[in-house]
Amino acid sequence: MQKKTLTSKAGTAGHFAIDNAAALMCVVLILYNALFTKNFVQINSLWNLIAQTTSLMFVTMGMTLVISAGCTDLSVGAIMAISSSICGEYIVSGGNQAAAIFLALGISLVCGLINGTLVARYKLQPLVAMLVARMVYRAAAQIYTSGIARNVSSSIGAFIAQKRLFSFRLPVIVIPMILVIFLTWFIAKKTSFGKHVEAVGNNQRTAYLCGISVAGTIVAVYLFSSVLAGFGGLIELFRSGATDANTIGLDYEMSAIAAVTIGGTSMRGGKARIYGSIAGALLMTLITMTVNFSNITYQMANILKGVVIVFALALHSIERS
Amino acid sequence: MENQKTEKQEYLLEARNIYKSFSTVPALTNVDFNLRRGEVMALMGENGAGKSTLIKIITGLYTKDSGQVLLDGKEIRARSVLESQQLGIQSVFQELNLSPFLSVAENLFIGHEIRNKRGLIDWKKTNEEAKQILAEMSVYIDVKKPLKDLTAAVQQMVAIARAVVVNAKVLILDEATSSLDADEVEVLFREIRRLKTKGIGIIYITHRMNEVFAISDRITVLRNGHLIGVYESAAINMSQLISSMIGDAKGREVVVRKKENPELKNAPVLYSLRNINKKNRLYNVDLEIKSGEIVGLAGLLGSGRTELARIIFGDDQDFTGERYFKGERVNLKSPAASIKNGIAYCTEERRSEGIFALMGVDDNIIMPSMDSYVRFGVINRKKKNAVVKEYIGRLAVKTPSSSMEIRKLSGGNQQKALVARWLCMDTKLIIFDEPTRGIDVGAKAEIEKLIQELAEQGLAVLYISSEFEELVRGCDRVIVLYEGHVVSELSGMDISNESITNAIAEGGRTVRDAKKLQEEKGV
Repeated sequence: MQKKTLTSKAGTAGHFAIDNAAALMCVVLILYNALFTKNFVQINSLWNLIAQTTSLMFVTMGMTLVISAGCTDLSVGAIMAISSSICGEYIVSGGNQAAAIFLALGISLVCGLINGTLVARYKLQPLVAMLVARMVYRAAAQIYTSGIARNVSSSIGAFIAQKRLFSFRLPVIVIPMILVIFLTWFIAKKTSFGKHVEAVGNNQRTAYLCGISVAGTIVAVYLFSSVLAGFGGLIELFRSGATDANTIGLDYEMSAIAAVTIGGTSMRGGKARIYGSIAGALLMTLITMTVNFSNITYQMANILKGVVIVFALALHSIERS
Repeated sequence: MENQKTEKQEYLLEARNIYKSFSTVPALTNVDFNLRRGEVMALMGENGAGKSTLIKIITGLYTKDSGQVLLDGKEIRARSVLESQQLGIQSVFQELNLSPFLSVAENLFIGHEIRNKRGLIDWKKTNEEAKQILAEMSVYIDVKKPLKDLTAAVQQMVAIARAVVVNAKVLILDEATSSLDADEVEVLFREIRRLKTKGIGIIYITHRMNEVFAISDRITVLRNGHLIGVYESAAINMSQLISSMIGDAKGREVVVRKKENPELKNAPVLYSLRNINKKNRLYNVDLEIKSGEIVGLAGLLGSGRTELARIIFGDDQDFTGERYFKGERVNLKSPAASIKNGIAYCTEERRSEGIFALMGVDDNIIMPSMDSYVRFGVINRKKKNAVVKEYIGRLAVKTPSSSMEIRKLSGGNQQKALVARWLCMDTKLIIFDEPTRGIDVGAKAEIEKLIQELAEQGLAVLYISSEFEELVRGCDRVIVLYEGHVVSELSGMDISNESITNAIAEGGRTVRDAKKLQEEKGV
């Protein structure tokens, strides 16, 4: 953290609360569950929370970079459907598991390349381009699987999704999640590419005048987002043990954008806040879990998420004025 | 006017004993300010003097900690710009607060629409009135055109015309001339004088010294949040005003470059342009710059100065002609290619294409040269920080920390950071486009001095400025442009304010005559 200039104590506390809104709300929900949900305070609840967040965390990390470059990626949920369908169908037809995974990720990258090219090369409005991509990719997945859900059993899948390690029963799935967080943080904060992303998000014209390849940066960011979405789809596939082009990844783009904005990354771009996004993604899962535990209608979760997003955005706009 | 001039209402607008602090740091300390009817009051001071804070308190953007603001002798407490506008205080800022996609007439009457009996907007009448109001100002344009299609000067006039529409009592012009050329400023001044006769009081803020004396009746000077004095414009001269603004003038004298530099004569040409043409913008332009030389580009707005700079920097490909760098013909297709060759461009649009507002001073400085701190894509922090620290020190960029967001610095310090951006790499030719625009007197002198030092270190400098005094002080040679034609080249002792102005005037005549001749031939 940078040194803050002289401000009153209340101001500093307010700033802290606004900067860490997502994390604070996570704490509130955890306390609430600790008090009112039976058997919540045990290590397995934590593992459940993390395991359920993993696929969203992948998507959210990609989305953080996309948004900090001043773009959005609405196709991530559909890419999850594509990658899970391709991998699942390939395994079911007797193909090699590793080959299935690589194939799925490869196709995800192709989707990202299309997204990036539409936005950066052909200068389509990102929102329009993404709405189209979202529609087309999911339709492609549905056509490919004929809309039929299929059970998929695989040894890699079982290992990643079900295996627990050590005496404290650490789910294997936690490991890729930590890796992707570290990778994204490293790219955003330590590499020249990360700086280029923020520069493009700040001001494309200035970035161009500084010799940065604006189009190249945008394409790369979409590639990153799509391959992480591809991973997210695979994780969902392994966790559920079935392909389902109709439901896998549905509304993930919304949850991811919500997680990123609650985490403090501005939709206008220019700055990636990785810690905020992590807390934002956990918060999304916590809201769903809390609603489930409290025996409230499932749909209530989406209303709560909406409230939380508006609240977080209001906080940030107060901070700015 | 129905208001009789009683003693109480001597002033149209008055601010008494204004105190305002930002988290315990005082921005204004017990400042008094007053404005009479039909008067132009210049508000002067360096950046950070408190000018804009005072204006923002008057217009309701900030709330004061203590003190009073009186309009027509009655205390007002505007809590928003809208409220102050309803009271009759209208402001025109450097960045226009108009809507570029709406028509001129819509912009003029927005919030004051002329309606017909059924409550709908009467477009015919609106357009007619808009046309008439602008005609009174000798502006003859199609009022149905969207505002963005007009020149900066006309847009500025529309903003002022709006003050007439809303029946403003007080008009605040904040750096309203910064994008205008000399002729356009004259038109604006004519309009200001006309508004004066209507009894409107005008607060005029500018960085251009000669404008202050040309238009203002009185001058209020602020420094570090204190009122320094109120002067009759006729009773004070330029140097008195400057010393009043900057206080102790020690160490701030402007260096005048020694004229006639014999070493330059034999130096090889670093960069040259041959026969550059750009449709409707540039005509047969030749240009040569040597290492260690400062070449000025003088001309009015629209003379093609910036267009030329962008062609040199590879930002504009839509032209014909040849470019030579170190004696070889080059085809620089992008800024990236130019930067690799050691050509840098310090833009005139600091905010919109200079800074990365949300990034730290450090990242802003190293952005174009980042490759030299990178191995396998990873930035070497130590190396980066050392360079950043060195250049923040060398250019005296005032910032609490090197990772401070650059938008939080003053304009002058932002500009210095942007210069540092191009100096911390292997730059051979640097183009400065209006490097002193919108920054305070002290920082201006520092930047001018810095440019001199760069040339002494062997850099080639192309210096674009609307303030001819700067070119006179700083340049070895000055190339004068008029509407895209090179009309004169001055060097050494021949460079003076008069010689540049004369060259533009004469060039204007020659170019016009040539055009006329062509037209006659065409007929």
